[in-house]
Amino acid sequence: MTAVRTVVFALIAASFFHDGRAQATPPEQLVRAELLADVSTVKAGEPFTLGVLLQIEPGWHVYWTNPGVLGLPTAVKFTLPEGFAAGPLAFPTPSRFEQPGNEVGFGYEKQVLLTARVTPPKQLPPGDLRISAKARWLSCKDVCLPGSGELSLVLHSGAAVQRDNERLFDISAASVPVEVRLAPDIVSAEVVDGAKPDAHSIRIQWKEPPTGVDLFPTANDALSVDDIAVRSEGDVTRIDFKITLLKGQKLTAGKLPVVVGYSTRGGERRGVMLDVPLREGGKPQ
Amino acid sequence: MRKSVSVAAIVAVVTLVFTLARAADKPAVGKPAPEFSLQSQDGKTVKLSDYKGKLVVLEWTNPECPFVKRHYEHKTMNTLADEYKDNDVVWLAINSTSNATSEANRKWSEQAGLSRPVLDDSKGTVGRLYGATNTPHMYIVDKGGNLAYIGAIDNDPDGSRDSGKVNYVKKALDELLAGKSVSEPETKAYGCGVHYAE
Repeated sequence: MTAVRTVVFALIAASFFHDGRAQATPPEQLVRAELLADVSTVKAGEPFTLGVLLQIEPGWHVYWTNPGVLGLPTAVKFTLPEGFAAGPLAFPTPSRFEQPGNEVGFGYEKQVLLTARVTPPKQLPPGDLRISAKARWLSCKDVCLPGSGELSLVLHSGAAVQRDNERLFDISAASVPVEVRLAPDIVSAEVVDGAKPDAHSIRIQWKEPPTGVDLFPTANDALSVDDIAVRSEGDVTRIDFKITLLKGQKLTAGKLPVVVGYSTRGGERRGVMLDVPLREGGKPQ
Repeated sequence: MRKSVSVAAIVAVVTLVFTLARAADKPAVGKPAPEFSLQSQDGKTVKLSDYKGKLVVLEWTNPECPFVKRHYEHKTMNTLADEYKDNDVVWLAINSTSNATSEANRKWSEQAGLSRPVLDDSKGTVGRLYGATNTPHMYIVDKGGNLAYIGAIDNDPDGSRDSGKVNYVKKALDELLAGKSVSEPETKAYGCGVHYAE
């Protein structure tokens, strides 16, 4: 037993020394960012997808649009050639993790591809297309470190679209939350008012019971979503939660969009978007 | 078997009681700010009740947190604390990080140019009592000893906002000093988590 331990220790030690680092990874390598596209050749007027791939050091994470109690949303800003228009940034369904102080965070581990649909102009002369992106994130484990990257990519314009990075973009697209009617794994999903004005419930019937079901409220500075309880029995999941308006804050919309995230048996992370209607009674007493 | 069940039941009851106690005690705007007694960076004992009749700003801090660092680079806290100190506004920084010490707080206060107390709450007792979840996490205690504000320092978590920037603490202090009630008494704190002792 001791011999085995010694060998394991030696291997671990060797791996640390081999790549020239001790336990700490240099901050600039905790998250490696890369700008990618699902095409290498763009055709005039035909939309394609750009993505910023973040590869995250094991044990660390970056954040979703609503980071949870602490953290910071990951942000990407694209700079495109003239006449190109980018749609909103799409975030795959996040996961939930516990952080220092037992505070819940929403975000990503290992890797995430944040994408945006881009439409080129109707007239496009052949040649190189320079695209750049600025990505900003906060990566946290026991401590948090901010990071950013100035990224660039050269695509070509041509008569026919040439696809690239298909699998990576397909995986990311399948993980972006969709409306209930488009969700492949759901029989029905509904938002039910709870007994008290600030209490809400979501009831979902699944085609096949998933794992890792969690509620992810979208970011809202005026509202506090608390006491989230997820209960699954057979093919039905019930999520109870409380929404309260912070004192002195105003409701800016009559609903709060939320994402219910889940993992399929095949291990794919997916999500469904639902609107939770807010009632006047949700205001604090 | 019987024994293990009863042990589980006791644990459950204790947990429930603890949870209820915590929920009931959680400070809220309009309720009394809990009393505390902590040591400052120069070894003095500081109590909240020492400042009865004054406005007291409590700033949960951690010199290692990037959000705190950014505010200290931009002198957000120091400028505000200096601006209001002649108006009977007391500003106390509280460090609830588990590895904080009075000595480390002293070094940081010198380095970051703080003339106000930095209190050692490395046991986390006061942070937990106040329900501080973030650094920075801001609280204002009014002259009557009640909590008048709980939340963020401003509405600019990553320091990138170009317009419409609001410093909630400044706004609340101005309102309180003008004899008004705080118009936005609760906002969402942002920042790092508090690294409480286990």
